[in-house]
Amino acid sequence: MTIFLVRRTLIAFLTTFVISIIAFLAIQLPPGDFASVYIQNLIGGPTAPSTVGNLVLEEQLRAELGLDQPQVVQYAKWIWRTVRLDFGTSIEHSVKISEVIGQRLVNTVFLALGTIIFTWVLAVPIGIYSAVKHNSPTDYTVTFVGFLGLAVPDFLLALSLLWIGFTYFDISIGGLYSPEYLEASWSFGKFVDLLKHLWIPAIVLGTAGTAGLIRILRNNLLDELAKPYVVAARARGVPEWKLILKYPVRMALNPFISTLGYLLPFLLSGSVIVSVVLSLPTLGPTLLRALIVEDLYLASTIVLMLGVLTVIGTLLSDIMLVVFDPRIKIAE
Amino acid sequence: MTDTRDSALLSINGLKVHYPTDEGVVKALDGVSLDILPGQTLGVVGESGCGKSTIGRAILQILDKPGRVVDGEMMWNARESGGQTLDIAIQNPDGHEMRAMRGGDVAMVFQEPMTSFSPIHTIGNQMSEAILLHQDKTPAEAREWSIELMNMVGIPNAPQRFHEYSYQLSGGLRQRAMIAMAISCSPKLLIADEPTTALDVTTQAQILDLLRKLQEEQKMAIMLITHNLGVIAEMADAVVVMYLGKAVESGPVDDIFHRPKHPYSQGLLRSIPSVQAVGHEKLPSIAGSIPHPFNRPSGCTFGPRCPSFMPGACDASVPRYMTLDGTRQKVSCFLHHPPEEVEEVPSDD
Repeated sequence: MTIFLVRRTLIAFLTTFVISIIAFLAIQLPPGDFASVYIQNLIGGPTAPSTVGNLVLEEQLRAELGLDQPQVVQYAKWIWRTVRLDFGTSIEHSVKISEVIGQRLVNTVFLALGTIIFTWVLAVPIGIYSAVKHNSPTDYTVTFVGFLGLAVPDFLLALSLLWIGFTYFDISIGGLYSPEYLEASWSFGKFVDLLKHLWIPAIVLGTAGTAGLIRILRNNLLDELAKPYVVAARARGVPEWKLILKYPVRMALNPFISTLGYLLPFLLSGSVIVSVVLSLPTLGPTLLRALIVEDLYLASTIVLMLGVLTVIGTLLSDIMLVVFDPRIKIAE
Repeated sequence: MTDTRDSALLSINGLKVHYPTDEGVVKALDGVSLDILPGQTLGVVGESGCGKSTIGRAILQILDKPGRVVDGEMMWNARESGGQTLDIAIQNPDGHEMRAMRGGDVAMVFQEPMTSFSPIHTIGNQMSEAILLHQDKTPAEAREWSIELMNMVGIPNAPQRFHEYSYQLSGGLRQRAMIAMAISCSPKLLIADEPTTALDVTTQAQILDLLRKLQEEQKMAIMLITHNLGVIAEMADAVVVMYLGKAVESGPVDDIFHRPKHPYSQGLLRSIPSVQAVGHEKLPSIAGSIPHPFNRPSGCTFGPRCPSFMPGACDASVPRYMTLDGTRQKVSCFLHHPPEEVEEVPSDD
């Protein structure tokens, strides 16, 4: 177990290092850089003709920002700062990156957690019920609603909820905090306020995931329910509900544990549009904006952070799998 | 006949189990009758699909969906232990009585010891589970009792094995653990469904020895379901031969092996390879194959494959399952019917 942990942790560090290089380089792949985009916007949009004067200005700006140096040097400087948790300054906003993303990262994590909890709390019991009572009217109803949930785009759901809230209840859905808590520091009151706002985006973002999870869990469980160990447990008199939870459900959940790590980045990239529609202060819109204006440091910091969170998530889910499934140890 | 039924531990009468499917009803059991006597071994033989495993599951009411008992009775005689006679066939499968019976009075050993244990729970966890369900013991006592049982069935290093998983044990040890679990609550009836089929021959012999030894010690009845006539000859006191969801012949093991009456039993016994055989004689086999479940022959279901088929009788009505005069054998065949009954008008069956 110790060897396993040490090995996995080392691999995690290595993976993070590779991610940082790819993140930094990939963001510079599109033509131009922050300087060219900035000047272009100053003189009136992408179609305005560039002049010699502009180009000189652009070069000056580039030199000022250090963007004229070789990429290796830029990367080395950036990563050296980053490992000391000094993420530098956003080129566009001229403020510390930690300030730009700090609160948003917290919001994103809360939103993701809220969505995951919503998805699991709803999907696991429904999935189990639908497998145990498969081909019953309830199962067919759940399947139908589930497919509907899978098919409806989440931004459409968000728009509909906005409209319903505004038309019928005269409330504005959106955001994650009430105005009075927006700038307040963390307190119990702020947390409760967050929970009050969180459930709507959690439902919007979680619907498709819930429907998918129900389907997968139902099918996994149907496979397991017919296995001899279930019949054997039944033959020794274990009560039915206890039997189903203890044996086949535990087995059917294993594949989900291994995918926990990918949930966070999946939710983030999936939530960009919803976050824009519902004006949620999460990382998604910030990343989108940073990529459009080619704010190199802000964008690569966000991508790197997501990478780190994914690596940590995967590491945790690997460890959980080893804990939950004794068969994995012998394979190590 | 009445005397055996009264002394029987379990008396099954006209049991029918049907599986309604989209294509039609599969009659897995189509009126089976048999008696299991206390402390004795009843061998149930037949080809695959004859319904022999279904009987075992019906007794525990753990039939796979959508199968259910549609007719017949299964009288469980609990008088010896001070209880009432209970008709298992009419019990609610999820009811208290059935749950107390499963793993308590009636325990089961399965064919596949590998897949019959959960791969992610320890052997000890699953053994203790059965003990805690049926006995008033603390987890620590259940653990002690499990280890004692494991010693009893010849599992070396029991305290260590208790914490191991099924994949860490060999096939023979797994089946021993399965048996230890089955006897943990001193059942009166042990249903062994092909207990040695998945094991190699040496291990088979060891497991059969173990079952015999435990039967002597625990005074339990064993219902041994198998397609292996050798196993039956070695273990059983009485035999039931099944064909297509029906018992076609039953009786004491010596009578069945030396004086089989039903053409199907005769065919089965002829198809055992003999050690004395010389040269390269072809092993006799029963002609034809098992009919499709939705397309059963009328009259005697064995008719189309029977060497002694009598047109006008065997395809017209179903022979009665009855005791032969002067023997303890029961058979369902027109060859052994009293003459006046052969010409009987066809029944609706």
